[in-house]
Amino acid sequence: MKKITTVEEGVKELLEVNEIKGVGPWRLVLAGEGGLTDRLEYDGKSIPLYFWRSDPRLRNLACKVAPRIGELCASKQTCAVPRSFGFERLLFMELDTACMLLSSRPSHMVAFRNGEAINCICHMQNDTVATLELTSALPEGTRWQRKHAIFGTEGMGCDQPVGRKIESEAIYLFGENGLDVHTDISMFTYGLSPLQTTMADCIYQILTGKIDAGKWAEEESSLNAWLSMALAAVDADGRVFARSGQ
Amino acid sequence: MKKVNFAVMMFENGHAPYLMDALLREERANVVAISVAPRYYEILNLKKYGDIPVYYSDREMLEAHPEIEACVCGGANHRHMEEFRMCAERGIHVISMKVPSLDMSEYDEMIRLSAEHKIVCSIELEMRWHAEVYRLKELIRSGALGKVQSFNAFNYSHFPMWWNTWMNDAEASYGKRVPLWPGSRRFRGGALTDHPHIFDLARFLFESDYECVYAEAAPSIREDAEVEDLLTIIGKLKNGVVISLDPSYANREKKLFKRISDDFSHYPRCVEVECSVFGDRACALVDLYGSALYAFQAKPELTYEVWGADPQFNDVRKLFLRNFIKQINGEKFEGDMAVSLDKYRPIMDVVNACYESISTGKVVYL
Repeated sequence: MKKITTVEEGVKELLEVNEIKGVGPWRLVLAGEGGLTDRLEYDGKSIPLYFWRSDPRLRNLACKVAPRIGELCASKQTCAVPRSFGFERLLFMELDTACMLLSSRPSHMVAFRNGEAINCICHMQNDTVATLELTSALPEGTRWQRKHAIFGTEGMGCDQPVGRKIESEAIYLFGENGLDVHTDISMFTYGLSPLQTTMADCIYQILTGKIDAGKWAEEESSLNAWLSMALAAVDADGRVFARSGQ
Repeated sequence: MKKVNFAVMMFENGHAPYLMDALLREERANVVAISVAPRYYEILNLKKYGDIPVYYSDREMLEAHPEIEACVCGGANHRHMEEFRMCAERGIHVISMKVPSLDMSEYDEMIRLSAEHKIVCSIELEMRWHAEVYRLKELIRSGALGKVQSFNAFNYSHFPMWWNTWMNDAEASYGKRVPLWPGSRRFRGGALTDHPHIFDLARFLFESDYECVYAEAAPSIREDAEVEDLLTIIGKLKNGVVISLDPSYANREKKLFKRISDDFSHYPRCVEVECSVFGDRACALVDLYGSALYAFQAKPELTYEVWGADPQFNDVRKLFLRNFIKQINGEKFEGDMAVSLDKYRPIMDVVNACYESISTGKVVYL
């Protein structure tokens, strides 16, 4: 099996196996310090990469589960990522995820922060309620730990099986050096981590026009506004609401 | 060995039958009588208790059995004050359910009565009986997580509103009918009232009181619920730890009107209590309620159930009762399995603060 080692290689492989021709030059620009998203430079544009929207589990929660569980009521999102990912970037990502899961936009927020941890209640315009429990204080190299659940009047869904606390791996190898895990989720990006595979797939979808990159670029100002709103709520230390103008 | 004479009142609280069964297993307890709320004798199949005298009035029971020395006040929440007073005035020691009262003037009256009549009162808080809680506390204290920044916990369960109908009656559950916010058609007395455990856990783990809370009730997932069933709370402890607590009735139940067994889960589990503790050196993802097995059955209806463990190897409910008996007798005992009325008061305060926050839409400082 051909082993892929970078996101760029993964995209190239996806284009090849799908026999997509005529894609112009592109470049992945990783979010620098303080940056909120990685970006794709393509066709003279700089496109924000909301790669989490390509996460099959979140996509299925939003597109397959949510329509089957009656009126949506609430989401709960618990996420821990390494410090280098950044606190604001995590908040940005999970606010967008809340919008995706609850099919709405923030109305107002209250948040409390302590170091790299933030807890936020985001009341949506459709009166659903998102609870975000976030930290960007995991030691470097630690696998992201995320759990997203949605609740409706006729059911619920979660991206972790009931009773499970941590992200599932495909292979758990118990050896002399302790536990080793492997999770390869795509034949064509074999070797990449689930996160890298998601990123590669996201870029592939943009390059092939399956994602409306123009719309994503337009959404950036709204997302930035929501992040500012959440940060205002954090700065207020719960003393005031941050309300959305969007 | 002298046995302590016990009675159990009313059986409306879902834990009262468990305590009754544990009392029957405890060699130092002697159950002399029980009282039962209307319908509950049949609902709970209490004929299984055989010759133990059954009354339909607490007062009649206490008058007929002056030998009663200790009592489980197992009525619906709105009965607790009356039950407590009847016990205290007779010098009867009390095991209180997790919500002695959310009316703080009543609560203070209970504290006063217990002091005046020198009775022991222990609050039944099952999450204090889980070894996982003590391990987590040890890890936090050891510094393994570094400086703790946030604590997030959820206590999900079914809503027993079908077989314990009083739990969907705001007056019986909360003590009075108070809309969640002005104009709301839903009332206080639901999941927040029923699940104070995680509020107690945060305070117990970090040995810090609450600084402030902010709470929101989401739309109900049950159209028949007149009290809150889905809500979320964030806030801060006085030591700076940021909290997120979720006591929702997030897990569906079967619409059973007679509780013959514990066969009431629908999905995904009967009860889940989990937490995450995020420190600057490590994070801990914790299951405080255990997960033991799942079961699927095809008939008479498709059922998939995931069961939490019967949490401990030892009969902790019985040990809780034994500690209570030792406390009555002035004997030494090990373990921190019960909470006294006065030490538990801040938990009722924070529950009320959450209701106030839901009502006003503001952060409430304690």
